[in-house]
Amino acid sequence: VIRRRECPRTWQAAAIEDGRLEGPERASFRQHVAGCSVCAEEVKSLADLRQVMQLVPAMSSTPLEHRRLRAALLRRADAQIIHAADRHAWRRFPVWAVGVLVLAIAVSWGLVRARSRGDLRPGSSAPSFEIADLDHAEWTSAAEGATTRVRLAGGSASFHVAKTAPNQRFLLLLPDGELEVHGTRFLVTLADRGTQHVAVSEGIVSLRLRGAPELSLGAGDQWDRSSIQEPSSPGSAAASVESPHARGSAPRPAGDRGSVAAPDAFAAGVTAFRAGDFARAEQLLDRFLNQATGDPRQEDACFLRAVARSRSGDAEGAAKLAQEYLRRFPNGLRRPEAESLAAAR
Amino acid sequence: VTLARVAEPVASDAEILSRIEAGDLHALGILFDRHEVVVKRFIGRLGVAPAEVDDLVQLTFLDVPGAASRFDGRSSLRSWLFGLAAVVVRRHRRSMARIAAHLAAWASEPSSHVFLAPDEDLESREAAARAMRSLKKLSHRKREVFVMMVLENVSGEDAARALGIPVATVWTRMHHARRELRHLLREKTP
Repeated sequence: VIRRRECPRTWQAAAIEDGRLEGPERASFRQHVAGCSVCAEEVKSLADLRQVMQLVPAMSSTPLEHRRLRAALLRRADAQIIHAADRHAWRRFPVWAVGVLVLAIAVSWGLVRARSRGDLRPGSSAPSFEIADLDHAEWTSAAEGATTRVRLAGGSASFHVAKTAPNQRFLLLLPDGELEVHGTRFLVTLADRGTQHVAVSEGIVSLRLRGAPELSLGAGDQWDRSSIQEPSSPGSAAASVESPHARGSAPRPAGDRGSVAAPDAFAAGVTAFRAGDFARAEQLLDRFLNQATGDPRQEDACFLRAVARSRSGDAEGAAKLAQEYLRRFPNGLRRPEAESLAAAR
Repeated sequence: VTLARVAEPVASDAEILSRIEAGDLHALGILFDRHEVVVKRFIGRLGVAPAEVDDLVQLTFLDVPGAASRFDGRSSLRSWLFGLAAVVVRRHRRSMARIAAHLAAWASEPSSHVFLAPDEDLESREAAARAMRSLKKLSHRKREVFVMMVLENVSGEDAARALGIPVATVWTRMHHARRELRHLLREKTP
């Protein structure tokens, strides 16, 4: 019998206890234990430990407790399955929430960029236009914000301006005035450092020439310089109203863009009035009153005619004309002034 | 009229697990019937307060549907359940909310020998109480390995797979657990 305090094979006692030694090694150690007291003691000690620890009490359930636990388990498992969908939905929440957030940020960023470029704000950019040279046209253009200014220095050109937004402006600067476009096709001819001819094929333009009232030209309207020139020449203005150069419908004063005007003696009368030719003005306005009976400017023409007579120095005649105004337009806007004129004789 | 009881075909543990994974609660009940005893015994020996053992047993089986897909069949289902139970117990210990329950349970917890049959002799009862006290003094990780291998006869390889640790770690923990237990058992009873 081997008697010693240490044995190099003692570790095999735990190995054989744990089932780690198999086959020849297991048989060899069994033979070794028979002659090694150290290993024999180790084997016995491990077996004793296992035996003692097997005494550790084990909890168990009675059949009734088992059924109760089983029922409770299945209830909880059922609830777990039922609520699993909700939990999974909440787990998915961050995914779609993040997706929505990213989309919102992208859309917001796009809007901000678009706004910064002015893409989405109607009319924040200058109106687009095309110019066709018809006869030695000379022009320059400049855009500032939503306003485009084209300066026509000479020649004849055809313009096509896209329909403008409310805050967009397209101004054609002429040597003797300007022409504002509201989305249209028109033709302008210059001659002798002045506007000679304007023809509108689509839309509306406002023609503002120095020394002349603003004119609104609609589709089909044409304007010719001869229609307003030489206002001081007796008879010429009246002739210009019916000028052979005027083709199509006559131009309409600004503010009357929707109606078709009669020969515009009203505009010529106003021009003559501003020029101080009150007799000529009265004559033109009288003509207008007789010819354009349905024109809404009848009230203004009627009143202005009385004023022109008054400016001519004929107070009595002015009073009569004022009375005529009051008779025709008893609730007219010029009633107070007309009453003053009527009382002045 | 004679009613014949038709025996339900005995399904394997793998079949049971696949049915549980598909949401079959009846299969979960079958699994509970088969393994509740050993799982409860295992959890009870890990030092959990008796008042909480049933709850932890339920939590272990409630984890089965979610963990079923990870069962690869290389170890026994019993040792796999021990692994789930060990995780549940560790989770339970980490929960600070359980401290109050621990205190309440300890306040009313009877001495360990109440689990022994009344006809057992005094020496056996004292030996069992001493073994329980020694086991409780082991660290949780050593206790898991020792209980699994020595008291539940799980192989070292299965224990390693169930606990998710290397086999060498299992042997190391077993070695230290045995050394500490023998030392503790030699100590005089206080």
